[in-house]
Amino acid sequence: MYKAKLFFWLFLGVGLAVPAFARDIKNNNCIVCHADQWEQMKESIHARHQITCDRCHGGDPAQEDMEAAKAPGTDFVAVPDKKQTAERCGQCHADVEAMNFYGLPTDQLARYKTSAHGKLLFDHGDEHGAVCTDCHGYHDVVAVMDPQSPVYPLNLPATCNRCHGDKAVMAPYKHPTDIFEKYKKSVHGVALFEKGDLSVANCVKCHGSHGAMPPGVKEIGATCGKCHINEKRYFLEGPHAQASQDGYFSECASCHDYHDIQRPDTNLYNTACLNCHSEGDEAFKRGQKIKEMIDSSSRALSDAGELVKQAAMEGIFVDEETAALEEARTNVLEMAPRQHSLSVENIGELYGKATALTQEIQNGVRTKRQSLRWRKIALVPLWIFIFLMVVVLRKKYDQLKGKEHE
Amino acid sequence: MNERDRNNAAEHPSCCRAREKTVSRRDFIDLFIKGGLLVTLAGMVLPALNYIWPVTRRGPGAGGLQEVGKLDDIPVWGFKKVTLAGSALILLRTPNEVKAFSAICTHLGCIVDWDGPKRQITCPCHAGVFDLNGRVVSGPPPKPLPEHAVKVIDGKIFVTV
Repeated sequence: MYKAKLFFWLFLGVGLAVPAFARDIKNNNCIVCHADQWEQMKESIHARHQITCDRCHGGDPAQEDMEAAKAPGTDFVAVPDKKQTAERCGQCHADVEAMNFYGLPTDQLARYKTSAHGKLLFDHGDEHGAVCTDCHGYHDVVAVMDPQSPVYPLNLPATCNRCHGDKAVMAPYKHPTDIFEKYKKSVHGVALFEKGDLSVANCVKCHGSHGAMPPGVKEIGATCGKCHINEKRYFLEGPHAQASQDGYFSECASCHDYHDIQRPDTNLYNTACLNCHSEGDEAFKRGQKIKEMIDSSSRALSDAGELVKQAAMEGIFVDEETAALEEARTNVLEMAPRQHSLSVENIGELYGKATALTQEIQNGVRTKRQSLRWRKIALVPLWIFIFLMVVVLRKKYDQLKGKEHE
Repeated sequence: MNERDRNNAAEHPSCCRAREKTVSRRDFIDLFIKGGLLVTLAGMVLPALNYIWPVTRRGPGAGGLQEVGKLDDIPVWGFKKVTLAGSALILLRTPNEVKAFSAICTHLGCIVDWDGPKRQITCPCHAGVFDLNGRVVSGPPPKPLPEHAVKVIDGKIFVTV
């Protein structure tokens, strides 16, 4: 009985206990008047971690009297300006100890001050420079990887476009305002918006987030090379690497452009090369040779693939050919990054392997088809044998029947 | 030709010519039937022998296991690529076990390699990297490499197809 009572009071106690979070909100008297702001904030990441109004706006939320809550000395700011916003966010977000348990980096404010946005704001006093709240939101700020966040990868390009697509805002800086439209149609934009690939390059993957800057001619290779590792590696082995080092050539953008990057194909050898080379020169011819090898092996791979598919439909076992096809595909796919070395020998090695394998596939299927034809021909004597057996058995039957009658 | 036939042939030469012909045809039919039955029997026995005798020569054995090589073929921290059921597999030997993964990169389907010094599986096409358990470490592959169960019996490596 005693135990039952104890359980009852413990259960009641747990049920009626006010959680720490609720207690804090109870002491936050700001929301008595600013209930509408609280409505926006209550689902935010800050509210969930008991970060109340005073952390950004100052004041004393424990005071029930409005005047006392906003009294001088309470550091109260009704609407922080952009500089104050950056610094107030930085009070926590640049505090190593405070951020330690949330696993968040603490260099955002320092990075921000090096960014084009931060320099506009801090160095030039230009309030057009985007600050934390312009991208993350303010009362309703949520975690970056929350799909509702304006900086969630799928939402980020549109968030940047709020300013970068606004002609009036961009006019003083002579920035183009069609970047978002170009990006949407690019290979990266299509991967993001149509295929939902969140890992694909978006604004911050190339420009940085808090330290956002346009990459210069020399930095663009490092930017693209973060994802396109092998392309970068082979590019550095090629003849354009030095030109790029000298600042005459923008590693990736010179051929692939930047915001409206399209899925590249070998036609680039007919167009991009001519931006610097003329049709007759050795470098152009080298490019054409590489193009021919890539095109030829891609065609051979495609033909071999069709052949294997057709053979499988004919009922031929094509295990060996399927395995050879995988190997040939590897060689052809490997040509894509390797072509950045612009080495005929390098591509020639893969071309040789791919050609040999596709040839092997064709020979294999041809031999198996031949074998199948012979097997079908071999059926003819078998059928003749069965027919003859039926005839002689019938004869034997007749003989035995005749003998019986005798 | 028996004794009675020979006597008949001596008495009625024309009649026995025909009879001789009839007997010869009968023998031929008998012979054909015997031969045909022998061929039919062989046709039934050969596949049975083929089934009984080289049981692991082709196709998966018991429990879908397929022999892919000998343990001694692969040094510790070494690898071997094999083709099984039309697809490439990569076998890795650690000090404790042999692991088998599909060698087809989950990004675009290139055949992966083993980077011995780094003890990682790498894709030569787009620099995808997988760990010893086939999990993606870095690069564009969206999924881990599918793993196949491995058994080592009497120094021979068997992989579940």
